[in-house]
Amino acid sequence: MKKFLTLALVILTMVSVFAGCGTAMAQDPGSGTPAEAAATTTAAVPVSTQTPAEAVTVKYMTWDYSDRTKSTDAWIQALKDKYNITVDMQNVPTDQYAAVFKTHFVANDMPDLVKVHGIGSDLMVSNEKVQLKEDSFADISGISSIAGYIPSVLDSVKVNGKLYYVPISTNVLGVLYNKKVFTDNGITVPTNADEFNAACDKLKAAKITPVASGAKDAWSTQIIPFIAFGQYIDGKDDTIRNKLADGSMKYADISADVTKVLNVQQDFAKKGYFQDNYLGTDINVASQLVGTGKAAMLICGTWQVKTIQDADPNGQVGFFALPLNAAGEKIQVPTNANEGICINASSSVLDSAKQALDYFLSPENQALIMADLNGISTNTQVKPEAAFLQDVAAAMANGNVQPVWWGCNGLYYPGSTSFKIDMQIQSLMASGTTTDKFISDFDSANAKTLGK
Amino acid sequence: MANNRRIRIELLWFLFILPVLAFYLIFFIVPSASTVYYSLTDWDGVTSKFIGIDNFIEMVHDQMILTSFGNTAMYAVFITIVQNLAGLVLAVFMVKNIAGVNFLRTIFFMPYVFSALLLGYVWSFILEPNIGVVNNVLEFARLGFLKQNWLGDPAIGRWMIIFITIWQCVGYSMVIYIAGLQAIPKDMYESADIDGARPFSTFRHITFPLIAPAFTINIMLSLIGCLKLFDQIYALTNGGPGFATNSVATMIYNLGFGSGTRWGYGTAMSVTLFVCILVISTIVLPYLRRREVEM
Repeated sequence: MKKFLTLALVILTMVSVFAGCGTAMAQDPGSGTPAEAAATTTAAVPVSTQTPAEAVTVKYMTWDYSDRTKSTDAWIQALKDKYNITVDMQNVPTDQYAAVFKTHFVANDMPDLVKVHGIGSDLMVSNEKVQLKEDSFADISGISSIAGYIPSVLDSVKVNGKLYYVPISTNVLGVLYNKKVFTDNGITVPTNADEFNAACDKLKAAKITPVASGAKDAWSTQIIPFIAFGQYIDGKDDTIRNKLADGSMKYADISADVTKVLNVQQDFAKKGYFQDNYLGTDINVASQLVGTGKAAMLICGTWQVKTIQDADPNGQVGFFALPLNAAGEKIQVPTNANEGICINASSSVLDSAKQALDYFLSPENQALIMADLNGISTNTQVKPEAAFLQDVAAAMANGNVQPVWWGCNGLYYPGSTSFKIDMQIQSLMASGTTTDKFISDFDSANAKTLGK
Repeated sequence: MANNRRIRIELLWFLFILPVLAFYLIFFIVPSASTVYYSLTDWDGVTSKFIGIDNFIEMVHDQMILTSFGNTAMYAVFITIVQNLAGLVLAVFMVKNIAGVNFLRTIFFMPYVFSALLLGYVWSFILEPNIGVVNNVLEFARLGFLKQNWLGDPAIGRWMIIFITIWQCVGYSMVIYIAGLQAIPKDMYESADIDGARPFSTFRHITFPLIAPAFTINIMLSLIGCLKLFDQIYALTNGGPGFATNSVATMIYNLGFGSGTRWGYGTAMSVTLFVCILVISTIVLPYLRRREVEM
């Protein structure tokens, strides 16, 4: 009896463990919750509700279900309700997405709808590190809801006249700040480098960390150099990024400017603008420091606002462009409109995939996504209402908007370079490398890639 | 005639093992052989070109790779020595007839049961410099001057990786040593007692020689485990800041496969790591086996 009970207990435990192993990858369309109207964005353009004769399943691969769960569930549910399309979603962890994407591509079994971080002008899917062929994905120019998107954004991602994806939102790099800390310390939004330094010194004197740094996460160490690159190099000559990508110019050729770019973050560290032990602090903790008022600012992308806000739901988070400009100079605002869904050109359900994408791009659906993302939509019919987004819009209106920051769209360096820029910048902060070595290693990795 | 019959029987038996052989061939031999081939190419996951030993030559000149090999050696030496010493000391106490010994054995062994990744993430919260328990307790105890950047400073980060790996694995070594200690005949200790041997002499001349097989297993397992150390580093520092705390295994991931393009290079690093483990095992294992016989 004892043995039987033990066996039953073991089986029960194993069943419960395996049941717990289930993932949210395959979404049951019936379980999705239709999201409510977006709180921070508005849109009211209906999409046609033509129902296909029979049920169709469309496979969809993405990495971002966790940060847009509500809108994704709503999209899946709406497709089922309106078009009888079932979405079979594969949500791949971010750090494994490139490998999974590549595996699908090589095995020639791409899902019908595939999320990409962006396709470069050389058909290189830079984050996923795959060189596409022209017929890998379908040209989606004919999809009706595309008409609502900013034409210049669409033009910027067309390759040989073909449109493979629509970037749905713009991310902006800049300073996310705690408005109460600024008010309490009598600080106004700085508009040039001197004012920014003065604000930091004032905060330091008040024993408040001026800038929270999440340098333990290597990717976050790139943000300040990205902004500085926009200010000191792109702002001067925006053709340089093309030359660096095709190898006609090397980083060594503009080493003085690159050194200036890389030194901005180092200078902030030397001046004590970051909290102690910033190399051991991850971006989420850094965001919480700002949200709770222990630090005043976080230099990051607009996507980070939610984490700051979560630390204090009643707090007010503002945004301004990082002013690296001298007084009287125009401030540069680096943005990047990327990430979108492609359609596998060999899909057996091409029409349904297009219908699913059409609804995905509709203002009605985009409003829900922007509510999840706190993002700036590239769809002209989706307007920002939240105070934070209005700050972002104001920063863009007052500055010189850079359409692609350092490293995006296959510009600045070959998309398949082996140089790990994030870890190299982090290494620079930890004195594991030098600026000169950074530049020479970067050039040699790029030359090797171009040679291949 | 009899020979033919024997051959037929042998073939029949061979048929039974054929599925397993095929499985072994497809899932072990072929991937292993292709690993060696890909290490000689510039494979990017999609296309590949044969480049001879270029990957290996580049590796020798790559400072980051050399650092990761140095780190791996440091992890392997310190973790193997301390883990075994601590495991042995714990085992010596855990075989004594003291109250709550089973509970204590469970406590010491428990960290080994959990995923190294999970424990790594828990420790990274504990050691977080701003909101982590360690620095806050030090601050509360007016020992703020002892606060450290536990995982963000490469010099301290390496020691934290060593400490946490030992903390997690010491229970496993302890269990193997306990098995070894329990296999020693009691009459040997009784004879030593009668002869008036002191505790240290008893340990030196009876216990230590007779647990030599357990010692061999423990040394080999911890050594090979440390040479492949990945989970703890990935969760605690991800090899950073920069590349400063990488082991060879995390370097293979970060540089070879994490970049998404240098799969051939990553494979070459894997082959090099395999050869290192093979060479070290080939030297250390016979030495330890000989020592067992001598003792």
